This record gives sequence, C-alpha cells and structure tokens, in this order.
Amino acid sequence: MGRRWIHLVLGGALLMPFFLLTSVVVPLVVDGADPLRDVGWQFVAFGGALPLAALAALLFPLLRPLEVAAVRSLCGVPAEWLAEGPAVSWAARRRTALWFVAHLLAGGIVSGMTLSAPPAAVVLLLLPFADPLRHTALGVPDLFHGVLGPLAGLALLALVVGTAWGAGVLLGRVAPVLLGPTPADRLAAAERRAAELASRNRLARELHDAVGHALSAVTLQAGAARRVLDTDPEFARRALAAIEETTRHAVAELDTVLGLLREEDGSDPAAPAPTLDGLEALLGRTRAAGVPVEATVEGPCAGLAPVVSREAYRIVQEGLSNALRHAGPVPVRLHLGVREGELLIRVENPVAGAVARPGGGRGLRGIAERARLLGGAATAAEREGVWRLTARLPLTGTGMGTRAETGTGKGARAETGTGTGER
Amino acid sequence: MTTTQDDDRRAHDGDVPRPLRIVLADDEQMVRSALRAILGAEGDMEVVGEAATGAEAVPLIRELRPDIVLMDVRMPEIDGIRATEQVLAGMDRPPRIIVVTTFENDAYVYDSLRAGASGFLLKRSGVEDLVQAVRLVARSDSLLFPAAVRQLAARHAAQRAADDAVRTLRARLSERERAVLRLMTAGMTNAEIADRLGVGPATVKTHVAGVLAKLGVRDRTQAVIAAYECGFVRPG
Repeated sequence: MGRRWIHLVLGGALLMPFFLLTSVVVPLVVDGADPLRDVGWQFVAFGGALPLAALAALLFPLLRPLEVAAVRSLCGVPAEWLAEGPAVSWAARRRTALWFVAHLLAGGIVSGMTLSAPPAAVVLLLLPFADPLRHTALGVPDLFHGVLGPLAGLALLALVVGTAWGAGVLLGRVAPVLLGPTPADRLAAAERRAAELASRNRLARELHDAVGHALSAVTLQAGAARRVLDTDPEFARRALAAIEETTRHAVAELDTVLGLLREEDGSDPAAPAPTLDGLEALLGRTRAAGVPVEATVEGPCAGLAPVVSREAYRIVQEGLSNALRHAGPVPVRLHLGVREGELLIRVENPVAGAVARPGGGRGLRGIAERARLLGGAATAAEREGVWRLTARLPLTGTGMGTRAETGTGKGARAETGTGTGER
Repeated sequence: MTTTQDDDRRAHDGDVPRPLRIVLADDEQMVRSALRAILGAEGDMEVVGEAATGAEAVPLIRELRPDIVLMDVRMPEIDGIRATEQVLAGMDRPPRIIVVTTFENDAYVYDSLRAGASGFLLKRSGVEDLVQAVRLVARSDSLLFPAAVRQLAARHAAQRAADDAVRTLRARLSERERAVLRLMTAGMTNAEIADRLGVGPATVKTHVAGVLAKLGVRDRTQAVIAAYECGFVRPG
C-alpha cells in the first residue's frame, strides 16, 4: 500500500510539468481563465495536460523502461510480466502512452487529494474542540461545527485512503497489459534466444570436431609409437611430443569454449538448483562412485538462507568431484559447520606427491567465484600430503542479486565406434 | 575386375608378392606421419607418397599408380569425395581407395563410398585393425566392416528406394547372381558364399564379377550400396 501510494505520488509529480504548461497556456487562450486559483479551470488544465503526456510517451521510447522500473519496484509486479528496453514499435509506444496517461491521471488525483485532504481533515476533526477555528474564515459550513465535523474528517481521510488503494490496485492490474511485452517484443526476444542457441550450438559442434580430430590424431600417433618403439625410438619420442602438444591444445580449447558456453548459461533457470537438503543424496552418489566420504555436520545447516545453501551444495559437489578427479577414489573427509555467522566448508583428501596446480583448474576457480559472490572466500592448498579445500560463506549471503551458473558442463564425449573390429 | 590385385602383384615376380604400394592423403601431418610409421613397419606394405590436399593427391596418385590410397574425407581445396571421384574417373586401373575419417556418422563417409571408395576406416581404429583393413581391401573379396557399411547404406538408402530400379535390377541379374548379391550384402566372403551355395569358389568369383559388371560398379562395397539404394535389399 505504502509503495503504491509513492508510485501514485510519483505519477502526480510527473504530471506537474505538463500541468504547469497547460496552466500557462489556458489563460492565453481563454480570456479570464485562471487555473492557478479557480478549481474549475484547474481541472481543465489537468485535462489538457494528459494528452501532452501521451504525446511525450509516444515520442520518447525511453519512457517505458523508466515506467517499468517504477512499476517493478513500487507496485510489486514481477519483472517477467513487464517488457524490457525502450518501446520501439508504435504498438508498444501507444500502449506506453496509454499507461502513462493512466498513471498520471490516477497519480494527479491521488496526489492532489494527498496534499489537500489531510489539512482539511485535521480542521474538521478539531472543529468541536478549537473555538478559534470556528471564527476563522475557512468557509466551513456551520453544519460541521458539532459532532459531524470529526465524522466528516474521518470520512475524508477514508476517502483518500480508499481512492489511493483503488487506484493502486487498478494500476497494478493494468501494468502487465500496457507495459508487458508486445507480440513484437516477444518475437524479438525469441529471435535473440534462437540466435544465441545457434551460436552455442555452433561452438559446441566446433569443439566436438576439434577435440575429435585431436584425439584421433593422438590415437594414431600413440599406436604408431607403440608399433615402432623398438625399431625406431626416435619416431616414438617425436610421437610422444606431438601427443603432448596436441592434447594440451585440445584441453585448452575445451577450457575456453566450455567457459564461454557456461557464461551464456547464466540465465537459464531450467531446473531448481539443489541445496544442502540434497547433501545426503550427493554423498550417496559420491560413495557409489567409489569415494569413501566421511562427513561431519555441526550446527543448523538445514535452516540456511536458500542462496547460501545452494552455493554451499555446489561447492561441496565441486570439492568432491575435484578430489575424485585429481586424487582418485581416496578417502575424503567433509566437514560442514555453522558458527559465528558463517558457514564453514572443508574438504580434505590425501594426495600422492606434489600435484598442486597453481591457480587451479575450472573446479577450484568456480568454487572461489561462488564464495566471492556471497561475500565469502575459498582457499585450497596441499600440506603434508593432504589436499585441503576451505570455503567460508557469510550466512546472510550479502550482495547476492544474481543466480550463479547452473550448468555443470559436459565435456566432449569421445564416441566409441561400432565400425571397428568387425570382419 | 575378376582378378584381384593380389593376383596382379604375384604375376610380376613369381610367388613373392611385391609390397602393397600406398599413398596417404590427409591434411594433418600428424596423421600422415603416424600412418606412415604404422604401415611402414609392416613388411608387405610401403608408403610411396603423401599429399596434404585433394588437389595434390589426384595427380600424385595418377603418377605413382599405388595399389591403395588412404584418403581423408575433409581436406582443403578438393575434399576426399571429389578426389576419389577424380581418381576413379581418370585412370584405367585405379587404386582401391579407403576413406579415413574421424567421425563415423559423418555424412561425407557415405558420399565417398558412393563416389567409389572401397571402404572406410576410423582414425581411432587400433594399429592392428588398421593394417588388417588395408590388407582386406587389397584382397577385395570381402567387405570392410560389413555391419558398418550396411548400416550406412541402409540409413541413407531408405528414402531413395525406387520400385522400377528394383525391377530393372532383378531383370538384369540371373537368379544365381541375385543370391550371390544377397549374400554379399550380408558381408560374406567369396569362400563363405561358395560354402553356402554349395558351389566352387571359382564359380562364385564368376557370379560376383557378373554382378559387378551388370550393376556397373567397381567392387563389393559399391555393389552393396547399389543393392540397398534401389531397394533390392531392405534395411532391417
């Protein structure tokens, strides 16, 4: 109610320039008219201001995003019901103009009432008790000097509140219709989406091709090296170097392209992201993959803010899969603890030899990014044969406006053939 | 077409066959060097030339007259399909061409088989399979990867099958030849077909030659594709 009232007052404020303009113009056209003093002429100026507002909305496409922003934050209309961007097509401009007129009309009326009614109501409420008021030339009929005065004052306030409420509800209903995406907007959005998908598709196909060719060449080189290992060790050496080089390039390309594909993935709300509620299932799957996990949970991990819980789940998931990827199926210790306003996540696993990769791969970077998004931090290091990943997330999840990436990304899949080995 | 290339090679110097002469055409140097090492390590094979594009490959093959060409499908300038066509069109005794590919599901693979390649080989095949495949194609009395060729032919030919083409084919082939063709599409070698039909291998050879000649194709792979394409054999 409060926000909608502000939205209406904003409408009144937006009306002012048009209103002032017509207030100046009307006396020039009509002799003796005085919109600034005469209430009747005031309404004439008000009426004249609305077509001007409509004209402005028609001429300036940028008005729509402004109005959309106001509606979204003040009227509680979900963003997905409203169009994005300037009103380009004439259909969109016409609807924006209609909306603008409605907003300014309702806003002008409610603002006028908001400004004038409370003082009048106060006077009416106080009339029976304040003698001097009765003798001041306020133009209040004698009728209200008794008990009717306060009643009329209350009625006046109720009228203002009722009007503001009604106008707010009405505007809230009309907003999605007039400020929602036009068919052209929807078409444009669909086309954008299609173009995006096509480019993602192309990227994925090129990646598939490139990695497929690289792996094929590597297979051949490895086979050749094995075949001539004894007779031509020099060839075998060159083949190994070529294999190293080729695979390195292929992995770098994978990293780059998958990164691109994930970035574009950001806004895809395909499936609800899992939270720590799904921790047991995750641990079950990890154990099924051959990784013995010992998990300890301290404190109320179940009641965390959804955003913290979601990101925590992803971090645990990445941590476990990292352990499997780099250390193999070794025992992993997972600790989750809620303490002093933060969630502590720790994943530990023994590693054989020095395998610490400076900077970390995609997994570690992803973890650090997630932690940072929430205002926390993550570190990973090897010490005395134990790889330890630690992430701290503030429980409030500060500054989280966006959803983090949802896709886990699929690597290039090498096909296994049916054409080989048949005679 | 009745004499295999084995026979040709023996004809030169008695019982000791001269090595199979092979040309490699692939735009990736890594692939060429690996294939050269693998095939060169076999006593009965010799890589006599390499080309990096289809445009290089065609004149090289005409000049060197190899027994076998390993031809990449995707190459710059002239791709493997067009190079195959050009080689087969411009030579009186053209080599057998094996298409070498990364992806089995590549539409180009089928196109190159239609263009006259004798078979295809996946680059990811193991060393032993690769060598074996080259020998098999050189011997030419059986299909290379019969199941895969059948699958490809069936998948692509399903839409093209035409009734009048089947009738023409039926009319042209004798009953025995039709039986032989049917067994060829099942991937049988000449010896297996002889066994099945209860005739001698020489008779089968004659029938196969008759089938190839009447279908106007170069080898078994083409015969199988033709059989599928005109609907003589139905997929499945």
